[in-house]
Amino acid sequence: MLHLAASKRLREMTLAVDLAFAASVTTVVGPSGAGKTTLLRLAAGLVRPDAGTIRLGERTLDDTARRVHMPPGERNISLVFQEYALFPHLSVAQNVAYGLAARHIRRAERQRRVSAMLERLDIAELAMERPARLSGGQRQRVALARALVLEPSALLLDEPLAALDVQTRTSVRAELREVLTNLAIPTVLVTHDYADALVFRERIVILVGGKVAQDGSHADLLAHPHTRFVADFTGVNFFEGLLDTHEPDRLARVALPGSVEIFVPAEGLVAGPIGLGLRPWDITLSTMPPSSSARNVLRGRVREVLPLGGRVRVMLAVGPECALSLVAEITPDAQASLDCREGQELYAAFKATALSVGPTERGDTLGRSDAEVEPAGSRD
Amino acid sequence: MHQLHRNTGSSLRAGAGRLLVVTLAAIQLLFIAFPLAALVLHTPLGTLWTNLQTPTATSALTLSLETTTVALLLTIAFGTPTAYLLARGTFPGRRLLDSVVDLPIVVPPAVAGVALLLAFGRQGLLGPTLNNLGIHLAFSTPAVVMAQLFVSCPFYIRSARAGFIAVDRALEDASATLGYGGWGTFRRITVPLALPSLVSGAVLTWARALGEFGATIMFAGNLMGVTQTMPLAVYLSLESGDLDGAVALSVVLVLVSLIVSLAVRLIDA
Repeated sequence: MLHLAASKRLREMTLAVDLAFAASVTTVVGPSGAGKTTLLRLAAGLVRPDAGTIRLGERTLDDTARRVHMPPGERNISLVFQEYALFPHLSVAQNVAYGLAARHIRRAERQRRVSAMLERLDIAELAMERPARLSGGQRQRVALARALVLEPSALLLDEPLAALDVQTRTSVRAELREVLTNLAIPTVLVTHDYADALVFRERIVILVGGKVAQDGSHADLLAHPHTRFVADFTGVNFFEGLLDTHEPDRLARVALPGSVEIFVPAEGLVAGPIGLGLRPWDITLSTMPPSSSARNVLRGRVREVLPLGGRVRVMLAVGPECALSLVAEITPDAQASLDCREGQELYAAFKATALSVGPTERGDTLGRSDAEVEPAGSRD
Repeated sequence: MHQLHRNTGSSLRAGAGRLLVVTLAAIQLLFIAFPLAALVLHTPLGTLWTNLQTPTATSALTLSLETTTVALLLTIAFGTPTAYLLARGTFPGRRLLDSVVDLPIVVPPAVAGVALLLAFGRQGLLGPTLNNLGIHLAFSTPAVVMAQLFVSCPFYIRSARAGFIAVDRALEDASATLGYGGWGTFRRITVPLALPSLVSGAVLTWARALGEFGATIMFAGNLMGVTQTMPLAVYLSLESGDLDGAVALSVVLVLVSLIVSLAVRLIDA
């Protein structure tokens, strides 16, 4: 258990949290400037809290009242830095061995552990390479190897996917899921992209302006968002699929789970795995097949209807097998005219251009500003 | 027709402009190269070698080599922490300190010599104290080193500071989380990554120390074998009518300067 009950004054706001992380993966999501990186730096010991305590299991890492501050190197907490911070003048193997050397582990033992770790992350053939020669995905694995080879008591990851290009992201997300779920140590992954949080849905902490806006599973956040920000942030649909063929009209077809096919603007995309975001308020619902120009029309069944203040969130299961979850948001008026209720069959329509591809485009646009929120109409 | 005329006019003007630029640049470059060539070509190589064997020349060469080496080592020992502090430290007055460090580059060397005299000389502020301790700096070899140190250390500090600033702090943080303390991180990450800047700064500092004249002659005097470094020996030889001796040492200094400037360019590339 990693427990932070601490505050730290930053330039624009004060980070003040009381968070306990159990031996599983927790995702901390928030817009930039929310204090996410500072949270990790506090836990790693790179910055000292202004007040409070930080504990890892039985050990006290920080206690401002007793003037305790354990230096970063003694905490046995590994931090995977944003952009990975690999040492450019050292080979992959030397990077991974770095922390072991600091711990005065004998050479033979060091080499054994390094090669076992490189093997485990499938980068053994890169051992002699310099980081500059690696791809984004490979760098991420080296950073993970360097962190995990120390057998840390807790693992922190700062935006581990932000440095990757759109299409690498989808495959690396899956790899990361595989590596992290088997760790059984407190693991905190920080991201500004809710799509990354969906990789580990069990516990998501939403951090806004240095405070925890909400803390729960993805299902909790989706069904009972405490604030409008959380509602906007978490409501975004995220699909992982396979882009296969390019169609006429500059569109490309993406095959999603549950035999669902959707179309996206093809520009700049190549065939392969792809992640797509869709805002719930960009989806139009209707009882009859819509006559609008929307390129994507999916038939589905209403699973749940959740009134959220000025709008209504409708959870659907769409596609031929009714296997793909979709969250749509409509006005109460639209809900009344549709007579929307559980079990009802509906058509969900959205334009190809409503789908956003990848992190750069979506990262900043996902969390809509409040000004944009009103009125959440059933627009077309 | 009118259009054509205008085009010809403007291309003519462009041609004349280019000619002017090239001519001015050629004159400037010649102005630098010509005197140096005159110096190097003055004496045949064999005679040059003989002229370097005189007692004045050999003692100046040895003294210069010894004093500049000590000055460089002291600059590295004290300048490296200074540069790191200026690069990474966050304290009030850091920018002021930046410009204080640069001062010896701007201050005329003769003025630096007077300043050193007034600080450490017999009549200087620390004069009585040093005297009581039995230390007499003025007109001694340590005074030569101090003069060189004073005028040359900014070159190393500036270059090292720029090198340290260029090292990504995330790398130092990463090293800290992986288990190294400040010194271990500095040695394993910061220095290797800033090494080109450190080396080119050291080379420049050494070259400046080697050429140091004004502060040395004011503060340390001109005693053969004690304070008479190469530039001072060049001056003395010329004054006493020994042009060949002056030329021989000068050629050595020019060649060293050429190598240094090429080396720095190579390191920075």
